[in-house]
Amino acid sequence: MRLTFRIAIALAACTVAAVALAPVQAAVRPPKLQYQTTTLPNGLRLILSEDHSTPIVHVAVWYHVGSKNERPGRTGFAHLFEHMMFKGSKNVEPDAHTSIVSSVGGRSNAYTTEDTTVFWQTLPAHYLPLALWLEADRMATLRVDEAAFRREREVVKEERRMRIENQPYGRLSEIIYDHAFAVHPYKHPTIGSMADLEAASIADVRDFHRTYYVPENATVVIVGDFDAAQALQLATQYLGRVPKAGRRVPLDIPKEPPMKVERRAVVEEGWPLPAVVVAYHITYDGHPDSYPLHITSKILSDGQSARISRELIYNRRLCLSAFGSGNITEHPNLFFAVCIVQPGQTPEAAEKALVAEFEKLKTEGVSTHELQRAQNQFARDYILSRETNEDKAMHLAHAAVIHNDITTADGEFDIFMRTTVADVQRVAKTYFSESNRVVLHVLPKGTGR
Amino acid sequence: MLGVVLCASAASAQLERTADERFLFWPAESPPRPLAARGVKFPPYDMRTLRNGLQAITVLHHEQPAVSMRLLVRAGSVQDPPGKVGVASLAASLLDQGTVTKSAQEIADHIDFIGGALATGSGSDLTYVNVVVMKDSFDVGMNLLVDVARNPAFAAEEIERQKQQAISSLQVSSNDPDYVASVLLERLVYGFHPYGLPNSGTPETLAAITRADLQEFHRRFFVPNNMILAIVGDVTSEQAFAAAERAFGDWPPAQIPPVTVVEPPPPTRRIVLVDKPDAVQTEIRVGQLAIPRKHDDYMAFDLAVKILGGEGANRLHRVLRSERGLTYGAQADTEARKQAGHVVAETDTRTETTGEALRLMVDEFARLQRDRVSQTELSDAQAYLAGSFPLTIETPGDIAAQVLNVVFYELPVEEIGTFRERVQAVRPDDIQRVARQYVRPDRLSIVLVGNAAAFVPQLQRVGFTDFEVIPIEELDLMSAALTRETRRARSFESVEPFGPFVRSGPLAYAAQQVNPHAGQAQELLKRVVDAKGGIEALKKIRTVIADEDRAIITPNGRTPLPTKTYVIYPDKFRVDSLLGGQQIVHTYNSGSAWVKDLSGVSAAPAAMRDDFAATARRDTYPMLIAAAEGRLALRVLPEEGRDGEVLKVLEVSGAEFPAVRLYIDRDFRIARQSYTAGGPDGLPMKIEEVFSDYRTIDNVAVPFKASVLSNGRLIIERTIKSVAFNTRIDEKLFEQPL
Repeated sequence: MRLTFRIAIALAACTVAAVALAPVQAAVRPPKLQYQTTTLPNGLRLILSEDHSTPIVHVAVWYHVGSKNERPGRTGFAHLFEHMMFKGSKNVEPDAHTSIVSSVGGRSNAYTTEDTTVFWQTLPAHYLPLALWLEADRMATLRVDEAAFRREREVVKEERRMRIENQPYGRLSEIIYDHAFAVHPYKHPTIGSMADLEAASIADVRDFHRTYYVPENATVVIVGDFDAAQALQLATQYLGRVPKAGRRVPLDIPKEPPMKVERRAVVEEGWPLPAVVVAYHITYDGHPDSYPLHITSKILSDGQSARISRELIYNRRLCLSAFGSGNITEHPNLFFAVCIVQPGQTPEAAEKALVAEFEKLKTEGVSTHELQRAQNQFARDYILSRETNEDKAMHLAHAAVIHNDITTADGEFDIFMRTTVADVQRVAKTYFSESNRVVLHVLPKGTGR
Repeated sequence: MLGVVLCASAASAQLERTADERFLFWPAESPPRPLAARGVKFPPYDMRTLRNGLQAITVLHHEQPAVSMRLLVRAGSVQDPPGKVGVASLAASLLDQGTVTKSAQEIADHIDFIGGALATGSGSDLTYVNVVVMKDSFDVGMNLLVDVARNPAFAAEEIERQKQQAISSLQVSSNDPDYVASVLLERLVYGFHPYGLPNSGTPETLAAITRADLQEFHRRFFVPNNMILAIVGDVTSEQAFAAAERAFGDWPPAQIPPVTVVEPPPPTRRIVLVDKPDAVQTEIRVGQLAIPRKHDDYMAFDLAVKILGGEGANRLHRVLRSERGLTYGAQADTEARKQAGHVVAETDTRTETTGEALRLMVDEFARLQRDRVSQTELSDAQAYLAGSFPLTIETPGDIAAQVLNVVFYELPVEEIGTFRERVQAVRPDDIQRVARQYVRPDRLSIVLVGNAAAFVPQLQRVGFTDFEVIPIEELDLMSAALTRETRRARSFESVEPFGPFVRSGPLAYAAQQVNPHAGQAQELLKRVVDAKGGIEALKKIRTVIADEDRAIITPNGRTPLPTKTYVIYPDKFRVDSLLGGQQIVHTYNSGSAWVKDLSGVSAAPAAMRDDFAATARRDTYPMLIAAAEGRLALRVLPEEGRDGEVLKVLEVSGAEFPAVRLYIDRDFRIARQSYTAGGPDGLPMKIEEVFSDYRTIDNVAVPFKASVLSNGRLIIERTIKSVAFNTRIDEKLFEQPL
């Protein structure tokens, strides 16, 4: 016992010395974001961040509603509704939003996640009033037209076919979540099912708009070349006149009960090579454990020297591609590892190797060298993901909406830098247990069982 | 918190939110005016050429403490040796897998630990190495960059590993309809030009690549006078150039070998269906050869394509998505590269709407070519392209990309500064001119990847009757016929796969899309026509009467079918046959067709009528005359080995003339011909006719024996008993039979 301890100390000392000789020790600190925030009288949250380096401005509206707010039988609705927001409002003709923005040299689009629906535009800076006016118009007075709705529903069904059904491994995430979750809406994909899309009605559209597309549920972030006082005045002028909602935004989302025994499944899909998944339920975004879990993702699969890349892809040639990472979201989600199995290798061997990587995190932990590498990579991502106005807006709004604490947009950097090897091992032991595990083998058609 | 006092504005904020009232109380108004416009200046950058010829570019940007380096080598799959497609791609993937002093693992450990990133890859005209590091690791990053670019080890073990990765990846992507559609479209547009071949190789070509191939590729093309280096980010210009000099300065320049490639064929109508029965959607690509990047018409052509399917305009999106809900997305792009360029429109739609979507896309090509665009539509496209310029210079990487682009394509550097003016200078007349000059709606390459059996009838309903169907697992981009079957048939041939159609040096580009090999194809055609008896003899033929012994071959045996055929050129024929004592008559007369059989006389079904029309056009004599007179397009395809003989392949096609391939023997006689025709079940059949026993009648060589194969199976044999030209034939014979 005692001897082992001494060896450990000696090894630790060597490691530290090695690190000291390496060219970089501490990660470069990125500059902090500069911003202002306020809430308009109608409850709309506003975030402003000036950046005068290029004469453009990014305006994003985050509605705090995503696929996890959907009712059973209406999966995919949040996203289908996102499409309807382009179908015109009192002063904007159907499908004109995009063309109005592009006619001034701007770009616009929207996306839906499990937790949020985001509408954005990046335009030459002097068109800031236009962007705010357009967003206010559709927040207040969406047009809801039966024919447009039916046509758009077909478009969304095509989107599902394109993204999910018609490409190899497109359904992988859907399969993982369907097996891993029992009651929480993360069980279903954001795009929804074909049957539910078909069942959606125009009444659902009206109701969804009234319920969720209200100022109290919206966060508007503006980043770019503007004067904050003027931007505030414009935001107040256009967004400030959208009336308050008459009711509270519902928050009754079922909780996922903890798993008691490992879940296993073998399924078949028309994909060329088998896929093996090892998944564990984890915590939510912003929980103290979420930071070591982010670090764990990097240690397992960021770069060719990461554990899964080196061991499963490079050394053993088990997987064509492989990774292990946490999908860390507003509600507790999954940490999962995937291996696309090389021809000549078996899914069983791949599963064993993936599970071994999780076990190793628990029993051996990670080295200080690996932790330092992950922190340096984290600093790199932090810096490189704050280059554009859109990037900055994303970090600010994410902190405000998901963490309900805008200071985390900068503060998380220090949390990551303070994370220790003990933290990483502790969270591994907390979450990577057999009874909390889901194992899937997705085999090419005709090769299963 | 904002230091501004907010006015609790409008009383409207207190309004009850009900749908109707919201509409009522919300003001009816036009979009607000913009604020004062701000000046847009292209950020400063600097360029120098080192003594060894390396072009270095620096872009300074101090907002984030990072530096990125991009090295471009002017060599990609275009420089792949013949038959070894994939050398450039495999070489690029091996650059960071070990150098003479560092193992693959050491390189990965090094770059990952400093919080950097290193990526290598290649395209058709270039190979790249990108490195990004934090500013305090700038020198480390530079050293790593030059080491992987200059000293790759190409270790045997790493080659094996990367080959395995590449082959497994192909196994996945060859099942991905999106990937398959894109590579096949390029293959149809560019033929055997390297732009038409898959950059990453095929399992067969990858297997054939040796370590020596990789070393040779590296030795020849990785020289500093063939490279551009951009250093971008939080450094000073002096630091950056000094670092470039220190890292690359002692790398000696060398002669860069010229490339040797086959020319892209002229635009030819060809429709290929890749059958993937489990697909729920059809990936559609429609494209054609256009112009290279460095072409005077590039700006006008690019705007024309943006009107067809780009941001700011996009007719395809409007027609397919907004108006009909057929797809999630539809767009068209100008893919203008160094040696040549193409335009490609793409969409994906459910199986049931495939025919409709394809018809609409092709119609939009025709409309763009036919109708003048309105000033408003052009202005919208221009407003987006010019107006979005500041969006394209936001990050140091964006700025570097703009500079690298002009340097790489050898465009005048001033083009960056004059971009908006050049966009705005384009007029509707310019669009009309380039659309007429380059857009060929009658010669589009079309690819559909999906559940072919389910959508073939739709294609026929919307007027696409001539196409090839290839099961996805049999697709082979390296074969002339695109299928593995033919590839095997070709495998015993001893000739170089690119045959004699190879030329050296940079490709010359005519302003008009003249087939650079038109001369060669014309020459071959002339030999064929002469072997047939000469153009004058062919033109003298006005009518034909032939008596034949035919037999229908089925799995159950042979059924005799004596036949008499009457033809009046160009558009009348009648075939009388005797089947088991019963007379059967087929007549075709300028677009009308009838059938007389046991059940009586009836107008031919549409599919049969169309097939008769195609038969009339495909008749050898008028086809050869039309081709000789330049009314049909010709292209030479790679030679094919058949039954121990190498046959030249000449493809003849036209707007209303689905492609026919003529296989020509050493005496320049047509030994075979192949084409696609509609079969009785609505599915396309690949028809091959094999000709022999040529005899001379009135100075014209006539094959007295012929066999017809459908999808490779013998279905008809015929022997001519007698044939006569220019006998007077009563035109009544071609009317509706009694």
